[in-house]
Amino acid sequence: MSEVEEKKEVEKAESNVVPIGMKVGSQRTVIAKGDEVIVVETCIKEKENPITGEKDYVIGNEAAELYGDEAVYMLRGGLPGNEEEAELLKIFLTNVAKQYEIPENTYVTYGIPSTEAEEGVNLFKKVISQVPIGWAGKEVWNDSFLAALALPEGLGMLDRTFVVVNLGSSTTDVVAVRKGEIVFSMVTGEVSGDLVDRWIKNEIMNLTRGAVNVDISTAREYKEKYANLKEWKSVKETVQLFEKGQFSFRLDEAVNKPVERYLDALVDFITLEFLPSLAEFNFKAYKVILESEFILTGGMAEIPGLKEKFETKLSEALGFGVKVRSPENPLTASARGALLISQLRVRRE
Amino acid sequence: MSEEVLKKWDSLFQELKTFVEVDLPKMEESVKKAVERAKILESKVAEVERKLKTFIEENETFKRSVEEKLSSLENIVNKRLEELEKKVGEERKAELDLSFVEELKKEIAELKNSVAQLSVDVSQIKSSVGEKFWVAREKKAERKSPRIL
Ligand SMILES: Nc1ncnc2c1ncn2[C@@H]1O[C@H](COP(=O)(O)OP(=O)(O)OP(=O)(O)O)[C@@H](O)[C@H]1O
Ligand SMILES: [Mg+2]
Repeated sequence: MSEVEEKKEVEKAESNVVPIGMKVGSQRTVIAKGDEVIVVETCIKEKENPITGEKDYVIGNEAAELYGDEAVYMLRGGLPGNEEEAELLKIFLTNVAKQYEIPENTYVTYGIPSTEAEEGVNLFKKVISQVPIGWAGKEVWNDSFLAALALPEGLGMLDRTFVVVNLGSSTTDVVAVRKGEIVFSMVTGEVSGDLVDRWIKNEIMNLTRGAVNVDISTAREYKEKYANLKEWKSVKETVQLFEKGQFSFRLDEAVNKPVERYLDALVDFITLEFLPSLAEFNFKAYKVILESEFILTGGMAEIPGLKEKFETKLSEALGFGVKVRSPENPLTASARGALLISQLRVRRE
Repeated sequence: MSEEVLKKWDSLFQELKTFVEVDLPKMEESVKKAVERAKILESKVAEVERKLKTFIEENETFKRSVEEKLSSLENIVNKRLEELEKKVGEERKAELDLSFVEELKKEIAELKNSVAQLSVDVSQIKSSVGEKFWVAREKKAERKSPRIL
């Protein structure tokens, strides 16, 4: 080892390791660092540098804002599906680290969805070994589980019994935890935030007899701004179309109808698929789980009133009162839970 | 009597033998084929995804080129019209029957509309294909520790 390198090594050991929590999701990547929480769109847009002719990348929120539907969201169900997507994820994470000043000397706990697809996990592992952060150490956890750690009990949730319902963009993850161990989990693409976006787009088409065709990212913006099951406020949107004239429609209707359809599909999935499968797989666990609480998390749980309506509908369907809780800020809960793990590791070292 | 039994056993044995020698290999063969079919199906799914992607890209290029052509056509018509008007002069313009030009303009506008509609249709095809494909990929996992790596 050269002198310079040696000096570097010493510096590394001496300087303080920064604990980081990071949830990598199909739609949003969330980074928790101290009290700071950063939310970045998990997308990338390749372009050509006009001077050098080399490949250049615009990533994250900037890519989403500038390019809309042209920006590439490289993950599905939170994991890369092939080498190409893994490469994009690597470029994305490397740029995120640079842009948001995440130092190399960090301990990073990553959150990813539960999956049986080993290929995806292996690709993810390869990617994080190439991203220049987490020199002090890294580990990967189930992101739904991590979200539970963001509840007021914090690490105290590590040996509790509960069900996490993680409402993501491309999938919904339902994870049953007994005394800190995952007993059973199911993932579905039949209930997802992305589907709601498409339904909203179609609903707007229906309301305007095919005249107004918004793109998916606009539909998503509408959803995030106007979805509200607590109070339906009438919101009117007017669009001026070249040659076709002016079109008005009720935005609240266009958004909340699909959200209600989504909620019904969610309750159906839990009562007709998840719970029966769990009962078949492990009856004892099923009995215990039924009496425990449901934790609703993920970006779609941000919708006002969704938790309360979910609680009512689920209780109705099951024929008894179910307790449902949500961490504060369900969109960022997994990353904050991951941060707790990193902090624990750094303190111990 | 015992001969009857023997015969029965013989025929049973024959049946069993054909089962082992003929049917079993056949079954094995069909299991193998099923596995292969599954593999082929999987790669077909990947292929469909790829094709869908190219189809959409091609459609975009096609749409753009048609739009460009229509625009330039429109320009040409407008320019000719201007030239014509200039030549004829303001006073005699009213005498000309320009209804066919209006017709032409209308047709161009309609064509533009249908091109736009085409791209709407394609995006809907895209989303419905994507939906079906993804829905079919439901996974179930049983794992012990919440820590993955
Ligand atoms: N305030 C909000 N109101 C309504 N929906 C929201 C809000 N914030 C985020 N969402 C929606 O939540 C979803 C993103 O949630 P989340 O970040 O948990 O998903 P993800 O982890 O990226 O995706 P996946 O779990 O499928 O990999 C998107 O559909 C997004 O539109
Ligand atoms: Mg997620």
